[in-house]
Amino acid sequence: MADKDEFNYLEKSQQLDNIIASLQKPDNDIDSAIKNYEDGKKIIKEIEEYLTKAENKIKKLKSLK
Amino acid sequence: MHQEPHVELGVSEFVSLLNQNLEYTFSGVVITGELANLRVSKNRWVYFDLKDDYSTVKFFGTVYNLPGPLEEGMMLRVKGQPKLHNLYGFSVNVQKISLAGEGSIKRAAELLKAQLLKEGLFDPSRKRALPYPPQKIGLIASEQSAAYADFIKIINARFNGLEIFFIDVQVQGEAAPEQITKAIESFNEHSEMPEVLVVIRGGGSAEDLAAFNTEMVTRAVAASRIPTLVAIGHEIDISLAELAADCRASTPSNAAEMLTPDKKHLLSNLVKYQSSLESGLLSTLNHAQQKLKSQSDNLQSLLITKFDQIKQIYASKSDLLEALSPHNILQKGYAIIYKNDKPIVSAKKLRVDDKINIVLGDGKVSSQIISVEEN
Repeated sequence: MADKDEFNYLEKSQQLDNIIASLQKPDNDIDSAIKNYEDGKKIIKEIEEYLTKAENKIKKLKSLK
Repeated sequence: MHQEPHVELGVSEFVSLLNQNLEYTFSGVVITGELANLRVSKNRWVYFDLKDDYSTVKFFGTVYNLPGPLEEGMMLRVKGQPKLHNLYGFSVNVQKISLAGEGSIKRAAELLKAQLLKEGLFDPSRKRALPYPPQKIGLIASEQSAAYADFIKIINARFNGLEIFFIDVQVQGEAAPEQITKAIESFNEHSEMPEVLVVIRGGGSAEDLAAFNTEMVTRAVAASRIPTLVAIGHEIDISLAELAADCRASTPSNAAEMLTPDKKHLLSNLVKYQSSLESGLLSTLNHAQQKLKSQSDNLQSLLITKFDQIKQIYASKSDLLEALSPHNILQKGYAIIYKNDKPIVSAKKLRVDDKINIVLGDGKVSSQIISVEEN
């Protein structure tokens, strides 16, 4: 039943925090800084899309008993 | 002449026939009265009387029929089946006990609260943190209620992409406690277990909210493996279900606010994240640039040092060369003799009358050998 493109906000938000933390380390090599920057931008875009476009789904269930 | 019917029965036959009649006439009778002589036997069987000013009736049931701890003098509504037992006489077999009147409901809630408190159901140490925000929410409410509409409206305004699994239940009336309890149990057994269970209801009178003060619902909330958030829209008396929950909210709207951050706030935070990314990258680039400059400086100073060293070595060699130069020796009074432009270092190479050139420190002279004497 899991959506194919299931987006986990908490996970993404955590990833973004980690990326920013490692980007702020003083001794960071440029290649990984650029990769972090690109990844961070991608995640920001994903979160932005999620927060503006994703819909809340309501599924009605029946009690088991 | 009509003869009066005459029935003669054995004792057991009489009991059986009477019970048939009682079943037929009083099936599902509800009797309201004041509780007296309550006693529990072997932790299982419950005996009590209901009485009014003039009469007393005996009841028999099990502890599972009890709505919670009871006390003499409480007003009860008892549904049951009157029966004449073949050995122990008349009693009403209890099917369901509910409390009657605000006073009794309140008192029962106090007693239950004291008992559950003692058992530790409301301990702060049992409270779990709710995921913030959850992805999957289990919602228990009445679909027709304003509470449900408010909750959905607020949560839709605040956050996106949530999955809300919903079980529609009665939140007041006789069926409410069982429906709410089963809904809680259903979510706990559901294959896709939500991350948080939300039970909501709007405000109402003590009797309207009675379901949330029942032992059944309170225990189900406390036993839920899924963290719980209970919001009953009233501020004065907190229900037992709320006390047992991991978290309580003052209203259903407040529950939606507690569960989710506001997306407007998050979106404006994203701008901050973006600038953190940029400043992070920039500072890395700056740092790399500085490092490169210091490396280049180091290289330059190393080259200079090396160059100086080489220069010094050449200088000392040049001094040595200078010291060893024949010109220097000639300055000290020595001379070089050339014959036919070849330097002569032995007397054996010279004969009388040979023409030679003599080089001195400050000039040249030509000469002829007069005599040769060897050592």
